[in-house]
Amino acid sequence: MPAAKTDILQGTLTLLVLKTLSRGPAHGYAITQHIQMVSNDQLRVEEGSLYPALHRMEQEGWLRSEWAISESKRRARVYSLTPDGRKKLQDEQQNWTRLTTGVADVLSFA
Amino acid sequence: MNWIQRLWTTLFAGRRERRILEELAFHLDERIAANLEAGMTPAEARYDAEKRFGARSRLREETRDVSVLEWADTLLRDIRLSCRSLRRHPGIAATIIVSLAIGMGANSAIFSVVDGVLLKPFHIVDPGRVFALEEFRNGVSHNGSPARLADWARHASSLEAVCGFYGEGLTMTGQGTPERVRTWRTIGDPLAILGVHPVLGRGFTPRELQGLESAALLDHAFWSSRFAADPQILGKALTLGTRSFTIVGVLPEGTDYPGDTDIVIPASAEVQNSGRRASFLSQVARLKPGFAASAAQAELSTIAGRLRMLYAATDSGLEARLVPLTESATREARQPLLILLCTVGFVLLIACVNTASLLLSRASERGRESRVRVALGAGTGSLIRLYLVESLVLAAAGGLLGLALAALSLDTLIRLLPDLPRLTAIHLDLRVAGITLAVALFSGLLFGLVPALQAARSASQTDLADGVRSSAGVHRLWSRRLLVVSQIALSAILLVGVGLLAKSLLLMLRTPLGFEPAQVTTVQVNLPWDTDSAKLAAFYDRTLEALSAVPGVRTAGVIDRLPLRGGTQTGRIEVRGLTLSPDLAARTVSYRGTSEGYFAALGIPLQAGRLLRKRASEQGPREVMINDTLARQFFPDGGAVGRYIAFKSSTPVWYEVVGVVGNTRQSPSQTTPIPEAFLLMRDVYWPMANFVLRTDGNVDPAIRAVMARTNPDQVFRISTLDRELSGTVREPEVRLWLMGAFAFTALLLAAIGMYGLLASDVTQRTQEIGIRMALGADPASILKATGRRAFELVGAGLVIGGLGAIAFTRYLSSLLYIVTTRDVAAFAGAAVTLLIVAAFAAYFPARRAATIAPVIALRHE
Repeated sequence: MPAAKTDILQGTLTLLVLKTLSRGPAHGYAITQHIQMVSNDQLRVEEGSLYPALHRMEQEGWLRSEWAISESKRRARVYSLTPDGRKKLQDEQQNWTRLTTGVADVLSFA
Repeated sequence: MNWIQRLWTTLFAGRRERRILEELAFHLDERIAANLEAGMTPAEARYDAEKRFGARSRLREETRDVSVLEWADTLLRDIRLSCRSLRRHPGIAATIIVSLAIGMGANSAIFSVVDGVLLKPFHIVDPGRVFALEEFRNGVSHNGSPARLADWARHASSLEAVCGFYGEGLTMTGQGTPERVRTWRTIGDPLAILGVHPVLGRGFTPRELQGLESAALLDHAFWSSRFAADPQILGKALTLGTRSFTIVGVLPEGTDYPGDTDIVIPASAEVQNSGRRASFLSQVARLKPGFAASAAQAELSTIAGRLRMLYAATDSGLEARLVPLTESATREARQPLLILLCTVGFVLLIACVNTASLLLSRASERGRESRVRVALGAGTGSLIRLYLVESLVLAAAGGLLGLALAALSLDTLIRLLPDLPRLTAIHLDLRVAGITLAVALFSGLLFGLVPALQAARSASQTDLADGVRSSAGVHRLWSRRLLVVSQIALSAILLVGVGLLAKSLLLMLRTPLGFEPAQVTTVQVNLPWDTDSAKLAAFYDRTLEALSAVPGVRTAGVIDRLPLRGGTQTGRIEVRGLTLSPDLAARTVSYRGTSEGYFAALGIPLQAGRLLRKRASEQGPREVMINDTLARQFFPDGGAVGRYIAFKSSTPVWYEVVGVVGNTRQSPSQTTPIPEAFLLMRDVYWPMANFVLRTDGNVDPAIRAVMARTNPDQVFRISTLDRELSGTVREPEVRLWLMGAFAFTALLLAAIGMYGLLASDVTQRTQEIGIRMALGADPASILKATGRRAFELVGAGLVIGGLGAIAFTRYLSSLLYIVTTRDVAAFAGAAVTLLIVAAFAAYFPARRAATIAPVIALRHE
């Protein structure tokens, strides 16, 4: 069993999902795979909270979803970004940049 | 989230939940596949996949919006989930719902009868204070007399009012065609008992109550139907029998005590003054406010003690008891109804057991579903809740369908149930619906709990294989075995009951009647009780003569009461010139009033001597005919004809025995013939009688014409002897059919349960069977092994059921003629029936087991 990976910070899951989906529609499993892969296994989505998050985001109007057939020929729910979601992604990205630069500043200052 | 969204989420939570579940299942499977590819064992793969879902609690919190509506939301969601999961198994769901509906429908229908007849209070003001006042002499119930009624009323300070009554059928004339009306004759004020005031007019005055002035109160329904609710009716006179009564008032609508009646009239002064020896009153008392029934009872016992001393000749051994009114009014209907209620209770119990068994079998299929739910954060508690909700949904559906069934069948049931009192009180009302619902929910919990616990247990195991052979599977099978055994036991009890009823009916039908009921027309007449005896004799003679002259009538006779209808006058006899043994002297002899034509009309054989001769007046030698039994018992050496007998009294009247006739059956329950004497109608005062006519073809119109011409003021009823007697068989017949139908249902349910168990047993042992067959076992031995399992179950069920039947059937004894409750044939019949049914239920699974191909069996997982 590999050493525990960094669980994603609360609140950043939204950003990561929006970003992942900006590349194109994907189902839940693919989203976790993508995040894990792109982060070189450094980030790991706690899968139990992914789906509630997806639904919340859909209710907020940032995502829409539909049933589709997966690569493994199973019925899967595929999520894609709405125009609102794209705007939200921009906001979140800016927030994130602000936050990380802020944190970096504090760290380098100290 | 604003409230609209909340509502939306609540309403559509099910859809969302289903979607999430499917997504999660997909996700889990993908992860497992990936893990397997990465080289994990299946168990590791699943464990890892589940672990990655992380803290279950968080999932729960986030999936569900915490809101004030949460519990409703949860419940609604569970109900929706249940409906959906039931829809996926329509066969099982339908079986369960239908069997529950039958069980609950039967229960609601029978319960509404029980409720209406036995439980609902009468329409009386403050009914809790009104009791029947029943008298017993040396422990034997007997009716009251006016003199004692007056004693109770005078001495009991705890009683507000006491009233005695008796029913009397009277002929109403002067209002168009003569008509039979039902009256209650009362002593004491009936309105003080009922606590009501007439809706029209007034109650009885003291002089009217004493029978010194004539007055009548009309029943509301009678007033409405017969007099079109005429408000001007007060003061009009009614001619009833030989007397005229002034209408003084109308009773309130719905008055249902003491029973169906048209008119209430105080008893005549002569009747009210009849002595202490008389015994014809039903008595009822209203307690004063503030007095407990126990206090009144104590007082009555004291008074009874005083009366025993004061009137040793008539009142020795006297006791008085206050009995709740509904109990007293429905005494005879009580036992059969409670037995019926018990029976349908058993059927429902079997249906519940069946449901539990079916749900248990489903629980094994649903192990995977349960595990996914647990993996996704469902706690054991919520899993149990979900399963219970599913059971309750089934129970509720069964209950509703059952109510519908009950509503449809209630009318038929009421028509079938013979001679029930208080029929009008029977309704399928909210009360019954409420009870049905309560029963449904209770049974839902009953049959849902075991499968729910089972599911929770199996889901909490980390065993990820679809463990058919897991320990939970074995345990489940044991629970199901127990359930099947209890079903068989319950069915056995019912079957024994049905067997007893059937045998009793058969024996009753087979016992010889002693007469030929075919082709006999009966004409029933009722004259007032105060008809002058000379007039009465003249009426019988005149009518007989007229009826004999009707073309097509071969023989005409008259009898006070038809055979088989029960009820007879009895006495003890003495024989002139003979000292009877104490045994014979104490023997009860029944006597009937008749005419010479009666025996020929009914085909009763004359064995010795001759028939009675008509006597034109009171004077002249009196004659009697006796039946075979009386002749054998009192004159064992023969020579009865020519002897003189008398009914014991201070002034015996001697009758010459002129002939001996064959025995006839007096009552349905009679097994050994009783000694009986036949006197001329004029020697037995009895103003109600049946003319019996042996006829060729239908002569009803001619009879009607003759009756109308000779007795224009008489009400009469033309029927056939067959029809008149059918009632005596009808009651046990109906009882048998009802119980038989319920037992059949129970048997069917038990068979389904057993089939289901054996089928899944075979499925689970497929591999084992395959191994056995691969090792050389032949199909016959496999068949035998499966059969043995079935018969082990039946054997256990039969033993328990047999013991249960011994315990329960004693309550049946009051309904049985001839047969005792330990009848071997009934027990054996039940056992054989169950064995046959078990053989059918076991055959198909056993055959499947025997024809399993070893290769397939070994591969079978």
